[in-house]
Amino acid sequence: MIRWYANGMKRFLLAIILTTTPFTWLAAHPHGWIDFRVNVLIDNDGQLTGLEQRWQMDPFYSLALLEELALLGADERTEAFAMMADEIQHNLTAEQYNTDAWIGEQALSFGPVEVYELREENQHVVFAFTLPISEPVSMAGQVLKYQIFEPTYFLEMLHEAKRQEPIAEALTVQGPISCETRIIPANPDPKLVMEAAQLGIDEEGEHGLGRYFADTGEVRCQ
Amino acid sequence: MPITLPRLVLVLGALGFLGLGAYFLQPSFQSLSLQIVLWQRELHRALTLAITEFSALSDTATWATLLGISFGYGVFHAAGPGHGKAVIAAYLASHDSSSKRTALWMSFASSLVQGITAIILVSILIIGLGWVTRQAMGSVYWVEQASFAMVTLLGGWLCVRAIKRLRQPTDSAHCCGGHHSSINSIKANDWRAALGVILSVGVRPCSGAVLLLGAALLLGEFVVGVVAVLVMSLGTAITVSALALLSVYAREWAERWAITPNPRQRQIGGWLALIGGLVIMLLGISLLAASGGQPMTSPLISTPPLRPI
Repeated sequence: MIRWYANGMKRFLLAIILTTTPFTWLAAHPHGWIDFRVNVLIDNDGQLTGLEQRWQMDPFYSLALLEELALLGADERTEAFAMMADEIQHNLTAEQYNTDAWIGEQALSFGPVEVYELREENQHVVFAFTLPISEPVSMAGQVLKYQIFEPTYFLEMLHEAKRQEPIAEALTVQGPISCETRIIPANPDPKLVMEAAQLGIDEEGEHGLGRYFADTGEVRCQ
Repeated sequence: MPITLPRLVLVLGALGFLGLGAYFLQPSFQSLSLQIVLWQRELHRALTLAITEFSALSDTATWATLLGISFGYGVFHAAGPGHGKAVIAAYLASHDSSSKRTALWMSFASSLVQGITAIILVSILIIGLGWVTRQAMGSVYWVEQASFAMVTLLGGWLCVRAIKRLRQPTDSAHCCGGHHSSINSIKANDWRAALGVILSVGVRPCSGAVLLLGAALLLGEFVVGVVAVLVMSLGTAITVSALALLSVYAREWAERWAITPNPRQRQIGGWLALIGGLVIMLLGISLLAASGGQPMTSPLISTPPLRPI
């Protein structure tokens, strides 16, 4: 009888181990991507007022959107672009525009986005907007850091790059003070990635995974 | 009969050893898992760009690159999470009638069915009915629900079958020699179970494959898209069959280790099949419960409503 149970138990364990463990080690990969550019806005008083962003969608998703827009007449097209832009703006408000930013240790909060636009540029759909800082901060002698990522990692978001190297327009500063910029590539910690992956159940919902694959923009002002 | 306790100790010891090994190897698994994600994203980008730029220079080299990337993408995409592999592994690990051969053809068939479903879906919805790509991607959600429901039903059916098997009278009371089992009827039923696994798993296409086909169609390179998807399925099949073979090897190892010819063996097989059926059914139910109410094509813009057919 003991043997009978031992056999049953062991096989039971094996079946469970075999069917569950391999899958908890695995994380989902992105199904699309966005190349972004950031223009850091500094006003005449040397205060950080906002982050002007330009998000370029990947060729396949751009094609799919442009296909639908091509079915429309010129007027309807403009209207459809505006409607899609409204929808993106609405969806992103809940997600804080996928942007985390800090000055020193202080996390920044953002005001409502009022300037935004969806347009076509070279076969790509581009979403451009200005993310205002809710309380402008002086940048003199300060270091601004930010990360922009889609939390579920369904979309990968990185500074626009050519051959792995970020292009010059990927991070710019517009203002009267002189600042140094740097883009620090992501260096994901395998342990944290796996923990984030284990929170998800199926391919499309791994909240928090995107964070670990985000690169970091750094602006150091004098 | 041999004394059971030492065997039990051995088995528990082996399991403990495996557990310790897994614990110490965990950092390597984690690094490997991360590396797979990084390769996947790299291949995903490469594949997208290869197809986007295909029309420019379609010589042998371009084809070779495209096929190579598609194959690699399939291999690593299958190394990601997905319920299909869990269903196949659970079935193979819990059904003692399945062999290495079953594992191989089940993996190849389900991967191929998955690719073909995407091709059929795009052919019917986009080419036939004139839907736009994002609507076709949205329809994947419904096919996926159907797949989860089929997995649940399959699990339920496997349970019923296992219970029938358990209820068959054992002749252990009379006989001590060779057992004349009446499991032939169950064996005959097995191709149906295998077909059930293949269809319930394979019917769910990857929304990425649908987007790829839609985009290829828009670029005027549908054939390129179809070939890429089929080669991708082949890559997927290789990864899935490795996992499937592992399930069968592990089960056979367990059988060799602890089971001597015994009339109770069939009984144990029945219990195991019941457990496997339950695992598959629960998997189906949890997938149905966990999936969101909306088809997902992008976190930024919702999918346009499907057209009534």
